[in-house]
Amino acid sequence: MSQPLLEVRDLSAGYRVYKGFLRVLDGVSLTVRRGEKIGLVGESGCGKTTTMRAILGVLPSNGRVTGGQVLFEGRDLRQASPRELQRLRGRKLTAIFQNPGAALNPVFTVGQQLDAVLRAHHPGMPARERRQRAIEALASVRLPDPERLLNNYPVQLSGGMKQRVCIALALLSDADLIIADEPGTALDVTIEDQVMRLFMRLVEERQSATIFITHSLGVVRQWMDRVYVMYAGSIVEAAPTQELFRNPLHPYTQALLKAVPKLTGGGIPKGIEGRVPDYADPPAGCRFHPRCPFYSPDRCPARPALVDVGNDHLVACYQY
Amino acid sequence: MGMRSFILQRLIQSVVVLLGLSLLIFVLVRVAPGDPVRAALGPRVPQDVVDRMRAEMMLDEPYHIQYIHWITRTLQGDFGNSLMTRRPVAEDIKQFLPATMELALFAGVFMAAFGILLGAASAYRRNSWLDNAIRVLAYTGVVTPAFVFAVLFLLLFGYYWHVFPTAGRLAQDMVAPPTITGMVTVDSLLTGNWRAFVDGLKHLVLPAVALSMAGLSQQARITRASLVDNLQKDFVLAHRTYGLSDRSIMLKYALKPSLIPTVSILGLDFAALLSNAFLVELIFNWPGLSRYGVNAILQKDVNAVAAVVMVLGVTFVTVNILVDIVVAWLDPRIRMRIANQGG
Amino acid sequence: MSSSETAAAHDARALWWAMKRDNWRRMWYRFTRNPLSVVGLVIVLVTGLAAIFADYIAPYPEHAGAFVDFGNAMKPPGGQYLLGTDPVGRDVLSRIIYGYRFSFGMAIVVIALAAPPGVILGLVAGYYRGTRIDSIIMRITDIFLAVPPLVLAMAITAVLTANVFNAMIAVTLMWWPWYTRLVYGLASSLRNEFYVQAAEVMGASKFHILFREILPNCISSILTKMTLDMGFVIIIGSSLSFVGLGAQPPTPDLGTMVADGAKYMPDQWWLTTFPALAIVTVVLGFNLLGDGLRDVLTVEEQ
Repeated sequence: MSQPLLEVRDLSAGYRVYKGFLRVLDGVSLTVRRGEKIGLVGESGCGKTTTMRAILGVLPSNGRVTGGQVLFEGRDLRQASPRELQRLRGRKLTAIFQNPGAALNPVFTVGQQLDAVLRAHHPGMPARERRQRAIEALASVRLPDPERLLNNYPVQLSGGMKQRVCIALALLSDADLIIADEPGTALDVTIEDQVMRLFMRLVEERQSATIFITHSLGVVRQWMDRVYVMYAGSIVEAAPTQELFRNPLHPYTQALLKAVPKLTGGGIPKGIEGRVPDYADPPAGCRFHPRCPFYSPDRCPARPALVDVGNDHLVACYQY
Repeated sequence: MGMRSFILQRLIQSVVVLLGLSLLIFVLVRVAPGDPVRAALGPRVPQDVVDRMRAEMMLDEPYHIQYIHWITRTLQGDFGNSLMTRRPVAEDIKQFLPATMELALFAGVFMAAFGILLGAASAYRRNSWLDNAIRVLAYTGVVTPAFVFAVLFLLLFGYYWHVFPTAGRLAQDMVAPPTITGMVTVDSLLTGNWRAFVDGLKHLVLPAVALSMAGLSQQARITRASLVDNLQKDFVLAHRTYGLSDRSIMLKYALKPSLIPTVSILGLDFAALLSNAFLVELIFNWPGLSRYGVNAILQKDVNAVAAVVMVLGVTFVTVNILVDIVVAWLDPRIRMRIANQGG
Repeated sequence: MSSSETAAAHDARALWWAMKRDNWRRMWYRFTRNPLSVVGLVIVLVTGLAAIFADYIAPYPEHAGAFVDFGNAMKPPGGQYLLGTDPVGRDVLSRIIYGYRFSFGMAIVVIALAAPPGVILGLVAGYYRGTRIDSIIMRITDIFLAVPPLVLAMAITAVLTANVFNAMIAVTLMWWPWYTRLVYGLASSLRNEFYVQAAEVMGASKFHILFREILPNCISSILTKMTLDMGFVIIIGSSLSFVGLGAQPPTPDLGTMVADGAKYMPDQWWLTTFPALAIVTVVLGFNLLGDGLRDVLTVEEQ
């Protein structure tokens, strides 16, 4: 098989805070092939956003990657020089942030922000051409009157428009991998759906691979090729979408699927007992064990590794 | 459109504020108990001189007539005669104001430039020895009164290191350039007198630094805090994700939004600077308006005091309008608000 | 009223106090985590206690006044006089301690007089934002803010007689608008909070809304500002004295001591250096304490 586009091996990362070091990511491993659409699901606070930032190398200043590898086209990004990273970012891998209101610089116009990215990647491009490219980018995300929009500040745009501008920014160049962190969750449901459709169409047109971070299983089921389920900083299960929904193996995945409300009725969905653990002092061994109905000290001695159970289905649980 | 009406609105507001200030000053100098003329001239001056002065200042008229008379003349640039020099106060001001303006402008530019520079350096090299050194310096600047800095400089440079002169505007053997603007450095530049320019500049250094330390420190602290805050923001992470260089982010994309709080308090820092000029001019024997003002205050020369306070009020209000314009230029959100409010 | 109800009320009150105590303990813990805040607190406590108990602590309490002992004039630091003596033979250390008494007294009086009216005006203007009351109050505030602070204080002191009392009045007159500004900003955003609107819907009086709903949420900012201001009032006060418009001799004042001592530099350096250090130290103390308070209180609010 050909080399995967992105291979994350055993990635660990965390944040320094007043009560110590929060070990948020605990050995995350995932693989993305060219053109593959990956869904990364889990509760809020399970480390999805941290995973994205660690892969891109843009953790906030109190964050630190403590171990593991991020292989992009076989090259470890953690060993790459800042210059190399800068050249890769925006050109080969890019991202869309969760909150479009916060992801745009408030004191520069949409045009200036698009232009800055174009200038960074095409130093020789004349200003007129950059402007043309910027207008095209805005038009490609279906924003009306792109020329006028160039002179607008983010504060003048609605939430949905800001999200489209963010997508335009990320897709200025034909990146091979787009990591999208719940784009649209900050928006109205109808607009969220529009943005989602637009985004997926653009991804498919460009044949880019994507890691789509979400807590919505519906979105995953509808659009993604493969799903990674994350719990408390590690991947607990990974499978092709159909396989996962047909045959969830990890007790957490099973609970997650049961927690989804169905339009067809069936009563109030069951929540999952307990809560995401404290990262300053995470549970020893399997991080899910305090909430796990199958846990017993004899059966679960340490942290379970991801094992292949066939059908390209991986799970980290001692039951299998 | 929006910006022009904003400036107009600010100007009208400022005129109202200055009128209020004039009323305040009037109440202060005229309605205060006792006879201001007698208090200024002292007990030995004959009564008829005092009476003539009182008539000139219309002190025996009702207060509202006095005020209208006083404000009309003030608006015409006539502040009356000084009770101590007997000269028109306006002429004194013309003579002393340029020296203060030169000092205040120099100190103001120094304050803003170095405050922002140090704050930015501190934020970018967070937790390094440079950051710690700048933070200690900024703390020292905030908690040390200007007169303590001035006295310290006087001691160090007056007695030990003779690098910078500690008194006056020019060396004694230096021929002053002809008065054009009244600012020694500007005038010497205009007349091409290089030696006088350098000497004038040297004389500016110590008083200007003493004056600007408080504001400079405040600026550095605020710039650092807002930069550190902004560097954590999603939009900076997004800029990095899209491949902008760290250099352009630091010098442009993170710096510009971070300057908004810094510039917003520039007006206040400039006010502190004008306040401290009263002490610093005295200590460095700088022949400016503030030194004139202190003497007027100590001598109870009410006309001169009123004029000095009024002139400084106008200066400060002007600076504040400029600051507001710069902030509106930096921050589109404020511009939008203005555009939405006024047509 | 049954006894079980009173018992429940009693329990509720006990629980409330327990939570309160717990909050205080947690805030104190956070506060002590930052050594600089603790240093600030220690400086403020030591200088404050020295000011209060000056009569017992100062080595030569009688030197605070118009005392003369030419035999011991201009003694350098050390020996009998820890920080040296001045040109008329008075102990510099004793005068610094009494100078603190004056500085603290002035700062406390000024802030106690300036904060309440400033806060009330700010509350009213902020709550009635956009109305005529707002514009009248804020324009008046602007007038007082239109002159550089020390200038106005000096002008006021000059017209009245230069003495301690008038200096306090002058500084107070220029200080209240800052509280109005601070509270105005807070109140005008707080009035849109749900709990304020809920109180309005339930028909609470304006007094209740201003002082029971809005004010408590401004307290931490006001307290922080008051602490920082203690330092800045001390600077302004000593600046006034430095020019000769504040405390008049023989009242011991740190600003006056620096000014008088400057004439004897550099040979009698202790005459200026120690009073100057004394000012810087106490202002530093209040700044560190204020910053520490701000950190603790803002975290607590989030």
